[in-house]
Amino acid sequence: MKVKIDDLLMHVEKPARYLGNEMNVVNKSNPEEYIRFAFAFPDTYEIGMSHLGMQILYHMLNDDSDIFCERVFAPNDDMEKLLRDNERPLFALETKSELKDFDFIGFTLQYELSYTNILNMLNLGDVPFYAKDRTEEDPLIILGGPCAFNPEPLADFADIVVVGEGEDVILEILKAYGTLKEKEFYTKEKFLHEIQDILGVYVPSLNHGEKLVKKRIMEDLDCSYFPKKILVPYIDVVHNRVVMEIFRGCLRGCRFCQAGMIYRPVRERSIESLKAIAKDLLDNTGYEEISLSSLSTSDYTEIEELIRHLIEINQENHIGVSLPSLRLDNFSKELVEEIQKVRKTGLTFAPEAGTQRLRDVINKNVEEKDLLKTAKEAFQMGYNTIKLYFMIGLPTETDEDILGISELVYKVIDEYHDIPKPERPKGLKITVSTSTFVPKPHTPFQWEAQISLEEIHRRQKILKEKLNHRYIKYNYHDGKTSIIEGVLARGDRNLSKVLVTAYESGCKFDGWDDHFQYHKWIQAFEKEGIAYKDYCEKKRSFEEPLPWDFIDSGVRKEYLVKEMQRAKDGIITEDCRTSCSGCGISHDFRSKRGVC
Amino acid sequence: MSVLRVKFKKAGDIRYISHLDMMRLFHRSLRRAKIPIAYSQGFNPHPVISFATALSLGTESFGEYCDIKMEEDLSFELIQERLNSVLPGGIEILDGKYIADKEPSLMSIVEASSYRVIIYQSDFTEKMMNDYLESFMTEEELIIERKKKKKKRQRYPEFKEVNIKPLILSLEFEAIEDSRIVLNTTLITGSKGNLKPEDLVKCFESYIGISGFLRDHRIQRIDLFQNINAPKRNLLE
Repeated sequence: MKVKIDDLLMHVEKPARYLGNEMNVVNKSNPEEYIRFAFAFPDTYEIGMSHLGMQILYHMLNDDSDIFCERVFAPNDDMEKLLRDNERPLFALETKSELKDFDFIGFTLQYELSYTNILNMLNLGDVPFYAKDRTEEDPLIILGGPCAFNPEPLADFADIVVVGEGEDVILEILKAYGTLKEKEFYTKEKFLHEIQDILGVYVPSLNHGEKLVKKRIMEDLDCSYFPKKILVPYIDVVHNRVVMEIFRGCLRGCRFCQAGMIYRPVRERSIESLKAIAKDLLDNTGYEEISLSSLSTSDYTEIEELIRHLIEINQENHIGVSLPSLRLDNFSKELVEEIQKVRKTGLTFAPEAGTQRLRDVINKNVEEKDLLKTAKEAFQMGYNTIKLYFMIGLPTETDEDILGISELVYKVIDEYHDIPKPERPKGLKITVSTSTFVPKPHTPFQWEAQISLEEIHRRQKILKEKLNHRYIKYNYHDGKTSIIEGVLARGDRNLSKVLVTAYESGCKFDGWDDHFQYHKWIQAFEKEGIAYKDYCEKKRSFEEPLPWDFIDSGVRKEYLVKEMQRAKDGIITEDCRTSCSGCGISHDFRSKRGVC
Repeated sequence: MSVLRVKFKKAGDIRYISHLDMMRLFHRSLRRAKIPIAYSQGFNPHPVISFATALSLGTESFGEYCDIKMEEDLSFELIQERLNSVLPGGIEILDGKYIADKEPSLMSIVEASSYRVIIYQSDFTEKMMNDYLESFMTEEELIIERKKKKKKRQRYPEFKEVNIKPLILSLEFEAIEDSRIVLNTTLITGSKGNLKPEDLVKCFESYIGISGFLRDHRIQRIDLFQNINAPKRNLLE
């Protein structure tokens, strides 16, 4: 059924969120003739539209002549209220069809605090939460994305979980579905049995953690799909620019970082294909900015050549090039000067910890002198705004490490003062942000305890007092969200009932400070008899079975144990390009253009 | 460098995007169409495009205008063809011409807008509408409340009373179709005053003592004019 919304649009903020008529949108006539896939992003339009993975899968699926993929986002409060008041279901943007009309709803799991939005979207679509309660007529629910590396808290809601990179797996799943439907052999049970052996597929109803699920990897990025055009929203969204993925994986092996482990190994796109992709995307969108995306952009082998090329072809059209994820140690002054010729962008550094000792523990191989040298060069180039990112609550952290953060910030200010007044820009502004460390599955710190709420507040207070200075702005998150994130990140199947209870008591948009309701979460844990502190604050032993043990990320557990030991001893591990640390990913994988 | 003045329409679903989003859409469409436009100087160069007047979100228009500063003079026909092939559905370049550098800006010449206003009502007859409008238009004063511009540190908005009668150049009843009333009106727009059709309808509602006209309404701007005295000329004539 098509959902009527045109009478609602004048009564909501930013109606363009719901129009589904953006530049490069795909619409197919007679949608019921296709395998219908709803790509569901469990957050607002502005967040979801900034997600590169959605852009890739959307166009890849729609390029297939048997498939029609549409988008669904979590509606903002005003639209949700209108839908509920008028008894209308949640709809997909392209055809305004309700969720029940789809064969598949695929939710991407980008962060744990979006889980209740999944339940809210299913509820708005009148789709039962639990897989066991859904009939043959209901859509199949697929989950994927980084949080699918511990799918257990959501396992009871999912029919299918995709572990690893989704491009090939999704097509294989949809093809199997199409074939069964065509032969008129289709039953949900038959279908799930048939696809459970596809590499990267986990079917929770048929596997209770006894069968290993191996992650899927795209071996050669040059041969994997990248769209020639992407959707261009009318309203401003978080990343309103061309985002071009230059490589997957990360060389660095920071011990807290889940992305650095689960996206291994490093696989680069060739510079030739990147040049072609950049041209297509800019030509087809009209965007005024292109941003390079990866976990550590300056580690791309031919980064200087790539940037020079992008600047050269774009200068006359005034298209800017922006580079997130720059590392301090190989940050080149010349490169930044090149980028500045077109558009001024901010500078962001992430030393993550305040002392060298702790940076060695987490394997963030950045040295203080590099940071100070780079900051000085930036000031000399005319920058007056610098952002610094740190984490608090890292394993082995003491108050000395916390104080080290503020000492480092003041040393940056000293560098600024050391430059004679006429040679430095006016109005220095340093934004210091701390996030709270949350141990994540598949990392060397997966067994570690997370600090308590009281401890988060105490450490934040120390910094708040120390960083009270006219040049400094100190940002930090409410510690309560980190507690819930921590519980869900390392949770098991027992948490699905907590999610439902929390949702039913009114929890949604938990990642948004204005929506997050900590006390309702605590009540939900109590009601369901879950000792939530055991999930986040208890240190786990190496022998203890973990809920995600059956998910094989390619990185061996022995390697994670070894890295944890080295962390305790403060021994750094070199990056993959310098020397292989034997994580296990190369065991059955050889990259054509990468490091392993 | 010369300036191209174009007339375009904005109709259908695209009416739900704001003025600011419209400007961004034009910038990107010009780039996609590979039209050599001029850029401003400074740290963040942007295309030099100016619109005659902002169109409210939700209002359709068949007569919007903007000036585009060109880097290189291509023929209007070529630009029209290239732009129309990349503009999203609902937006279309209708007409245009190059103007002299010294010509006054669109913003300074626009004086009036004509609208077609379609409002929701089920119980009115044509006779009733004609009578109501006739007596409405014979009033000397029609007062509405308007929010004053907020001052610094002011928490609650202040209101002022405005007589909108001089801002209404014409108001006529066209027809009743499927329980919807169709009105045509021409209102002062620009530096000498501004009246939105929604405010006119609200004023009319309170005059005849009912409500609900704007429950499911539709407003179309027909054209923009540069002199309110006959003969009316639109912004390209």
